[in-house]
Amino acid sequence: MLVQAIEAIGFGIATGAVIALGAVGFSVQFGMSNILNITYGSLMTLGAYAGLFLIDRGINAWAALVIAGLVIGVVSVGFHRWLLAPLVRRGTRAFALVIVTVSAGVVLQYVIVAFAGPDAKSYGEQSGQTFRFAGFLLTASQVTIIALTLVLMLGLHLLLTRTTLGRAMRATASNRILAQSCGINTDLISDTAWLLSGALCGAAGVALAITTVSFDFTLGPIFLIPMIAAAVLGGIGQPYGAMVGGLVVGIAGELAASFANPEYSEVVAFAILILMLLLRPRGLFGSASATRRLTA
Amino acid sequence: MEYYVVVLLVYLGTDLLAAWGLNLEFGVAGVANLAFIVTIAAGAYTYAVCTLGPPAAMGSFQQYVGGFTLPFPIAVAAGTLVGGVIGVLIGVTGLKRLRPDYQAVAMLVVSLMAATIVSADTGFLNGNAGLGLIPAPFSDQDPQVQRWAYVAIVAVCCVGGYLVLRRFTDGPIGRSLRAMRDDEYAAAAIGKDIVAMRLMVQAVGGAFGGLSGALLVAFIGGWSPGAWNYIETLALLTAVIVGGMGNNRGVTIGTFLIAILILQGVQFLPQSINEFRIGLREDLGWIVLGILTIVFIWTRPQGVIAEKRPRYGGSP
Amino acid sequence: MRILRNRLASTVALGTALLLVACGTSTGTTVPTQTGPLNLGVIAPFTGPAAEFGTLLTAPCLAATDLINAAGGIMTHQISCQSIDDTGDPADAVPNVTKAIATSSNLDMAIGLESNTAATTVPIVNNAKIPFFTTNGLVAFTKNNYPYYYRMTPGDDANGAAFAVWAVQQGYKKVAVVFQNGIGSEGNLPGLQSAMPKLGGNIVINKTIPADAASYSAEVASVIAANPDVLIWSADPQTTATFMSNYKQLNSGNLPPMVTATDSLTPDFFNAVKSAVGLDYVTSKIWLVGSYFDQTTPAFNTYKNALLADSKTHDIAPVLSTVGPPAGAYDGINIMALAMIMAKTTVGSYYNQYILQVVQPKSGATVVNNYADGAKALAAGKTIQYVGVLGQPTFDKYHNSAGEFDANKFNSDGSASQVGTISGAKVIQLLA
Repeated sequence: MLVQAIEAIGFGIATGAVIALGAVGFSVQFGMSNILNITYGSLMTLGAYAGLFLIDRGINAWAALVIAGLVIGVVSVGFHRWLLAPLVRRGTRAFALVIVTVSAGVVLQYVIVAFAGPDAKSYGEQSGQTFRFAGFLLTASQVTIIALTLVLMLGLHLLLTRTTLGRAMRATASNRILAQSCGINTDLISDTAWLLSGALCGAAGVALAITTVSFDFTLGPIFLIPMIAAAVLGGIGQPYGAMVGGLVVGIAGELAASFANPEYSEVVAFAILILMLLLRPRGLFGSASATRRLTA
Repeated sequence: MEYYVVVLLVYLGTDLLAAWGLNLEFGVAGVANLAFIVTIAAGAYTYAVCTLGPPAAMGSFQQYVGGFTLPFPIAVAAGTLVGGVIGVLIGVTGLKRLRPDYQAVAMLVVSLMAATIVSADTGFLNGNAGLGLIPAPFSDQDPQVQRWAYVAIVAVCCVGGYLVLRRFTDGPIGRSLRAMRDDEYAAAAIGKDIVAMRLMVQAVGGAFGGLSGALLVAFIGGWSPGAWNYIETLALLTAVIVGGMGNNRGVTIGTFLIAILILQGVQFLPQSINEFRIGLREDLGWIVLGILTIVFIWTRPQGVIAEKRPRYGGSP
Repeated sequence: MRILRNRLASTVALGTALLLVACGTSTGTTVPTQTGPLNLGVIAPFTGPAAEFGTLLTAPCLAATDLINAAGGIMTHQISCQSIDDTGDPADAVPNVTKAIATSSNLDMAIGLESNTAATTVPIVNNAKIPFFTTNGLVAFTKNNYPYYYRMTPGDDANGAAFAVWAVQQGYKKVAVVFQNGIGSEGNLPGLQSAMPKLGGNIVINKTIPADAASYSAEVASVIAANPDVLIWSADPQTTATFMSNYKQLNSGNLPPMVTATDSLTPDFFNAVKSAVGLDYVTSKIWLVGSYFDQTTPAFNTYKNALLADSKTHDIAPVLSTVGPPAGAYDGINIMALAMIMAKTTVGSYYNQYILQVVQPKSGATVVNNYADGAKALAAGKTIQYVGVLGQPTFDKYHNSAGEFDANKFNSDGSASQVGTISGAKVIQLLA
C-alpha cells in the first residue's frame, strides 16, 4: 500500500506540474490586473492548437511549446490592451469584466472549432522511456515538463525579486498610482506582465496537449478551474504559491484516484481549497493585505 | 408555432425568477455566488423526486432517492424550500470574510463539486443519465389548455415572486443590503448583522432559484447534470449585468435580451451556412452571442438600465 | 324507429365507404398534401462537449437525402437536412427543437435525439407527430409509449451483456471493467454485471473514471495490479487515448486486449488511440461489439458510395460507413420516405402507421435495399420489404429493434471488418 501511495504521489507531481504551469501564469495575471480572466482557458486551447499547427509542419514539440507560448503571450497583450484596459477605463465593474472574459472565451473557442473542427486532435505517440526512481514511475515527457515548470518558477521568482523589472511589477500590482508617481511606466509594466503570463498560458496549453495525448477544443476550459483553484490555494500573485497549489491539486487527485473512487479525484482537491479558504483566507503564501478588493 | 411561443414564455418566466434571485444576491447584496445554478438544480431535482413514483414502481430503469408521487403545488413548494436551504448551505461556505474574487472562485468550485457528486453517485439522482418522465400538471386536459394553463402558472409565480422580491430589494431591507455591499465594515459599525443578512439573502435568492428550477423541470420533463454546468451561472450573470445589475427592471430587460432575443435569434441563421462545413452555423451562433455581449458591455458598461444611486437632499 | 335509424345509419355508412373508395382510387385527396421541399431534422449536438456527434449524424442524412433527391425526391418533393443543435444540454435543447418545429416548413421526419437530451426532446418531437429514428441507447426507452418513436440500435444494457458474451467467448476469464463516468458508458455496466457471472467470467476490478483527466496513472496502476486478461472498456476518444498511453508506459509497453462498443467505431476514436499507442495495437487487439453489420451487401455499398460522393462527407466516408448508429439513421430515413409513398402523403400523423409495414416480411413482397428501388417498386404497384444496411429489422411492440450483434476489428485505414457474431437472443436472455 505504501508502494501504491508513493507511486500515486509521483503521478501527482507530474499532473501537478502541468497544473502549476497554468496556475502560475493565471496567478501573475490575476495579481497584476485584478481581473478574473476566464478567457485564460480558451487561450490555453489556442496554445495547444498553435502547437499542433507547428508540430504538423515538423517542428519539435518542445520548440513548439516555446513558440506557442510566445504567440499566446502576444495575443494576451493585445487582448488586455485593446479590450480589457479600455473597459476598465470606461468604468466597467469587476464582474462585468468577468462576463466579458467569459464571452471572449466562448468566441475564441468557437472560432477555433470553425477552423479546426470539433474532432479530437493529437501530437502523436509519446516516445521516450519510463523512469523508475525513488518509488516514482515517470515518463520522459513528464520529467521534462516537471523540469520545465521548475526552471520557469525559479526564473520567475528571480525576476520578481532580484530585478528592477520585477520590483516594478510588484509595485504596480500593489498600488498602481503610487508606482506611477515613482516614475514607473505602469502601462509598459502591465504589458510585460500580460506577455509573461500569456506565454505561460500558451506553454501550459501545449504541455496539457502533450500530457493528455488527445485533446479537442474543450481542453482549456476543462483544466482552467483546477488551475484557478491551485492559484488561489497558493495565494494570488505568488508564483511559488501557485506551484505548491498545483502540486497539492495534482497529488490529492491522484491519491484519491488510487485509493478511493476515481470520479472524486477533483472533488478532493477542491475540498482542500475550500478548507484552506476557511482556515486561511489569503491562501498559503498570500499577502495579508486586504486593501485590494473587487467591488461588485 | 403556438407551442414555440409557449416555450419562450415559460423559459422567459423561469429565467426571470432565476435572474431576480441572482441579482438579489449579487447586485443588491454583493454576495459573489457563482454556485447559483446549484440552487436551480436543487429545485428541479426536488420537484422530480417528489412527483415521480418509487423507482421500482416505474420499472427500475432510473435510480433515485424519494419517489413520493406528490401533487404539483406541494412539489413546487418543496423545490422552492430546498433551493433556499441549499442556498444557505452554499452561503455558509462563503461566510468567512474572503476577498470577493476568492469567494467567487470558491463558489465556482462548489458548483463543480456538486455536479461531480451527483454524476458519480448513480443511486442518488440517477447520475449522468438524469431523470426523465417527470410528470407535469394538467396532463389529463386538452394539450392546448394544459400549455396555456402552465404559462398562467409561471406568470402568477413571476408576479408573486416580483412582489416578494421588492420587499428585499427596495425599502429598508434593500438599503441595508446595499450598505453591506458597498462597505461591509461601515454597515457592521452601525450595527447591521452582516452574517444574518448574508444568510437571509442566500436563502431568499436560493428559494427563487429553486422555484425557477422546479417550474422549468415540470415543463420539460427531464433533468440531468448536462443542464446545470457551472457555466450556466455565468450565462445568467451575463443577463443580469447586460441589463443592469442591482435593479430589477434592468435585470428583467437583460434577461429578455440575452436569454430570449439573442440566444433564440441566432437560431434563425440560415441553414445554407452548413454547406461550408457541418456545424458551422451553430458555431457562428455562439460567436455572435459572445460578440454581442461584449459590444453591449462596451457601449453601456453600467447596463441597459443603471442602478439609481440614492440622492439625499442638499448637493446634486 | 330504431330499425329505421339503423337502416339510415348503415346506408350512410355504406355511402361514405363507397365515397372514400372512389376518392381513394382517384387522386388520394382524402389525405393532406404539402407543397414545397421537405425538411429532415438532425437533432444532435453541434456545439458543446459532444459536438462530434453532430457531424456523425449529419453524414447519414446527407447520404440518404442525396440519393432520394437523385431518384426524383419523395413524390417530387426534394428533401434537405436541417441541423437542430441540442447542445448536449437537455434544458437548452427544448427551445431549439421547438423553434425548429415551429418555423420549418414541412419538417416531417427526424433522426438523432441522442442520449444526453433524449429525456426532453423525445416527448416534444413525438407530440408534434413527427416520426423519428433515434440513436440513443438509454435503457429508459426499452419500454416506452411513444407512437412516433423508432430505434434500430440496441439499448446500452444489451450492449453491456454482449461485451460479456464476447469476452468469455474469446476465452478470457479475468475481466477488468473500466467505464467513463458518462451516460452512454454508464448504461453498459448493469447489463455487463448481470451477464458476467452467468457466463462463468470474473470481474477482477471495476473502475469508473472521470472524463478528460490530465492523467490516469493512478487508476491504471490499480488495474495493472489486478492482472486482468482483458479490458472491457467504454470512454470517449480523448479519455481512451490518455488512459491507454498511461497504461503502455506503466506496464513496460504491454497493453491488454480491449473489448469496447461499436459506438467507438469512429474516425475520432481510431485516430486518437492510434496516435497514442500505435497502429498495431488498434488493429490487432481491440474488438468493437455492437449491432450486426454485414459490409458485403448491396445496401451497404449504396450507402458508402453516397457518403463518398458528397464532398462534405467524402473524407470520413471509409470509417463512418462502418459505424452502427449512423447507418441505422440512414435506414430509418429510407424507411420513413418509403412509408410516405405508401401513405401517399408526407404528413407524419398519416404516414406513421405505414412505417412498420415497410419492413415487415411478407410473402410476395419485393425485397429492396435502397430508396430508389423501393420507390420504383411502389410506383409499379408492388408491395415492398426494405432490408437496409443494418439488415432485417425486427421491431418489438415498443418500436425497438435490437437485432443481432457482431464483433469487429479495425483495419489500418480506420474502417472495420467483422470478425464474429453474437446471438441477439442469447444477449436478451442474459438480461432477464
